[in-house]
Amino acid sequence: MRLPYLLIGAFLLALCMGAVSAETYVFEGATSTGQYSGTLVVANDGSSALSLAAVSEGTMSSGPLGAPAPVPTTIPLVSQDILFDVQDGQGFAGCSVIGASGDKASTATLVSGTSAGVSQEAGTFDTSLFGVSLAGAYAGQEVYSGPVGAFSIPLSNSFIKSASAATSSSGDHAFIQVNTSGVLDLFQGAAAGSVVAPFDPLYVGVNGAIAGQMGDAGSIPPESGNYQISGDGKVDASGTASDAQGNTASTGTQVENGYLSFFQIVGAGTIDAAYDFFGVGPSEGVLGVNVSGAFAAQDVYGETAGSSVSSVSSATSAEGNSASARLRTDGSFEYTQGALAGAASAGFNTSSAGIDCALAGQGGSFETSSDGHGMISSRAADSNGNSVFTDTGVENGYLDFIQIVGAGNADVELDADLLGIPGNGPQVTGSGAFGIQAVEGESSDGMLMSLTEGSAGDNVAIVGAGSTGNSTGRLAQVAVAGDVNVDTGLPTMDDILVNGALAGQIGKFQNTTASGSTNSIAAGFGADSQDDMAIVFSEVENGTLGFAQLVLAGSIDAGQPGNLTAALALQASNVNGTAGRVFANTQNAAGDESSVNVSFSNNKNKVGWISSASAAGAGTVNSPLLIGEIGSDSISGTGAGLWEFERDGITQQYSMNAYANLEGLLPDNATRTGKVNLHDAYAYTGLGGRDAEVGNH
Amino acid sequence: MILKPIIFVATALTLLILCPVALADIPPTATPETQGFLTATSMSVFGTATETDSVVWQGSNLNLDGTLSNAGNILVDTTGRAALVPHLPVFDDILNDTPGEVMYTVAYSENTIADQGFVSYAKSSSLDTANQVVNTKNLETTKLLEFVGSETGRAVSSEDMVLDTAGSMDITDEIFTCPFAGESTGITPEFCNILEMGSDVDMTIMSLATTMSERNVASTADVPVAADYAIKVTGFGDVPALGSASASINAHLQEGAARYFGTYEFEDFGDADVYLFGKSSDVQYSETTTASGEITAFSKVLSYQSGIRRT
Repeated sequence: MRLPYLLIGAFLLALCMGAVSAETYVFEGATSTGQYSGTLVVANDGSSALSLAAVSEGTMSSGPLGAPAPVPTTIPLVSQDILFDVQDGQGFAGCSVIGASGDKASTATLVSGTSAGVSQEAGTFDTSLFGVSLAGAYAGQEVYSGPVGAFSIPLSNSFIKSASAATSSSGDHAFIQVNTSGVLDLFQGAAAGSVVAPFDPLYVGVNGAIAGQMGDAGSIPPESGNYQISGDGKVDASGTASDAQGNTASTGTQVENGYLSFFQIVGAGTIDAAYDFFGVGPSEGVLGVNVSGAFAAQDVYGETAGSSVSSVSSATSAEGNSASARLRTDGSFEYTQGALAGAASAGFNTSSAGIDCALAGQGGSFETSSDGHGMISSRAADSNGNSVFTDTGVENGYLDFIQIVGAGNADVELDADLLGIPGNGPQVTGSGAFGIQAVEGESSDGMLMSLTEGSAGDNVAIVGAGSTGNSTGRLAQVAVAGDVNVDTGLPTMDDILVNGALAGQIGKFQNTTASGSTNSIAAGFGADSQDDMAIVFSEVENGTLGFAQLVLAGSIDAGQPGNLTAALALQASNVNGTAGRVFANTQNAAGDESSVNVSFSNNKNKVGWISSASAAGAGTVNSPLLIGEIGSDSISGTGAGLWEFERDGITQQYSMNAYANLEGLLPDNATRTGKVNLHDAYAYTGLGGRDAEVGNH
Repeated sequence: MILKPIIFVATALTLLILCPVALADIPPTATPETQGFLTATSMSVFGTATETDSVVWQGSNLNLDGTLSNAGNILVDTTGRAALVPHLPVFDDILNDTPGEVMYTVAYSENTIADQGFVSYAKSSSLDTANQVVNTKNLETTKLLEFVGSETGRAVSSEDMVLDTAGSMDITDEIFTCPFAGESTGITPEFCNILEMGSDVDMTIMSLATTMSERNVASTADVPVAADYAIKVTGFGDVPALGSASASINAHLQEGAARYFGTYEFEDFGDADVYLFGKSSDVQYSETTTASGEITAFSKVLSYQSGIRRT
């Protein structure tokens, strides 16, 4: 743990160029209840640093590690290495630095009711390497406590809290902290600054702040040789970052009564880049790119003693797009989680493109305690109301998983003259959210369930799959929701508006024991903004369920050519068990409904199976250019159909019918019902001459 | 014709108001138990009259031990050039709210002898050690002396007032009620000021009036430290006063300055404000006015205020 600290310290010390002079002020004293010490270093380049330490109802002395670096008199660097023994009191140690350009960094630790060693350092760097200028401030610390050496086992009411933060001169901010009632072995630091690379005709400037930490905390870690999960092992490790434009990201993990090994990093900043193609100046022929954002990530593993661990990483962009990933379980765990939010824009002459987004994700595995629970959940929502979520829960089992969600806005505006087209330049704007998860798990007499939804305004698409009993499952789910507006810029062509949601899943459940009852189901549901609904599902008892499902709901409005609003659900499944069912159903706001349903129920000792594909949909089409007969009317209807690939069951109760109800080709208040029977292969539309005969009808 | 020397001091007015921005006396608060004196003296004598008064008042808002102590929640570096105000855990436990110490000495004396002549003397004196407000004073005296001497008669009267204050640094917001006081300085710096005012007259005929007042104790630092002295000597009607008169003020004012240097943040725990100190002002002021001969009018008004929020 100490090695990286020294390496980084040595590296940063090497960056401390320039023989600036400094004044040093020393603070030291004692009161009736404690003692304090401190050092203020003020350099003539405008930078300064302060170290402080104090103890109450205890002692503080030089730590066994020694100071991590000597305190020079020519640069604003402070350091301290302190051993606290505060069984009845508290000890505080901190270092803070302010760079010449306004970058700030600090690190500090509060020790209460225990003993701990704290080694800290803060300083500035200002140098140039190969034409690249680096300037900024940093602070870092190493904290250690525990049942080794001179350190005692923490008392029940003790805690150690450590935090580091950095703020750049432009307002980017990064903060990281850990708070534990157990033992702690920590390396933590933060830095803020800027990097400038002026390589004509390319210019790149970076300004930002970053903070990170790694360590072990909570109950006595295994490295002590006396691994045990007992007593108070609460741990709260988290970090946040925000850039000057308002993008924020955070990550954190809390453990109740357990042990946590963690690596966390957060950062925020801005990148400005420009490339002058013709070398004529800043206004023409210059490609400019600006990227700003914040990120937060963590990699953790550990175990709880039947209590809980919870993690969350979230991000919110300056325009209000948000994404988050959460996890909660009560057993052992090992996963990576992160989130970022940001904006990027590029411009060239009058053409421009921009994106603002938030992303979050997590991947790893966990195992619940006996009869315990675990859940992963990710959410994303854009600033226009489009949203997705994707969740998976497991009871009394384990789960391997990956989840990614995101939301954002994008716009592209092109220069009409550059494209050689009349009118205004084409412009495309879009906003949306997406989510995806892939999981593999097992449950012992418990439950395994996944659910994913996309919602775009009133358009909703949901897929879900679950299994109870003793089973294994492997599946992937995805959802997308959003809207796109295409302005062609052409006076003869209307805008194209697309708004909708999509959800899909593919996977397989399988029972793991011959005895006991296992039920598995996979379902998809979609509903559009005019209340057209479609649903498909497949289920099996005591067997295997393989499935692929896709749900769509939304509308496309192309103006003069026409528009479409619909909800559609599709599935292909393989149902193999003692009982099973495949179902597809749809209905619209007018009450039209179509449905197909195939099921079987066998004796327990016999197994049946169906391999099929089915679909259900409802919607409205208005396209007088493509269907001249409907004029200003529209065609609306519902339909459901099923195709069996193979079947092998005791009973032969099955349905293969599909129905459609068409409106719009007739005078008002007149309707006709059409029927499509795939089994007997004929079609009847109810519209006289529009009947269709297929096959042997 | 021999021209008699006629010295006419119409009006000599000195207003000494020495108070650089953010540098000033901080009045200590009164002791829990306070005292008050009030005396009135009146004499009408043909012959000889004397008056001798003396007051020496020393005090401190902490211990009168000759050593100035810093405020309990300010850390001062080993050189005395920098100070920290930590708003951090543990420091809250080991530091205390003891104010920065202010020590003061107030001294006043009068010696008057009128011999071989007609003497009319009246004087009132009051001393109140309680906290004062901006229009009240701790020590006040008013004296009227009329003297018409015989051929060998003379009247000599002298007064001397000293206000000596010294204080250590304190946190501005904690000693002021005015919410805007802290805008000028977060910490009130050290100071060491001594002021002496008084007069001497030696007359064979005169009408003398003097007033003296000073304020050095108040409940908050919003009330400035103040001292005033005035003397007026005339004759009677067309008959001028005859003799010599002088009035003087001497001051040595030394003020520190607290320059806010910056706030060092220890995020999630608090911060520490840093101030750098130095002696930023040293004023030595001396003024003496004398008149001798036939004095138609001799007048001098001296006024002194020292505070961050002056009236």
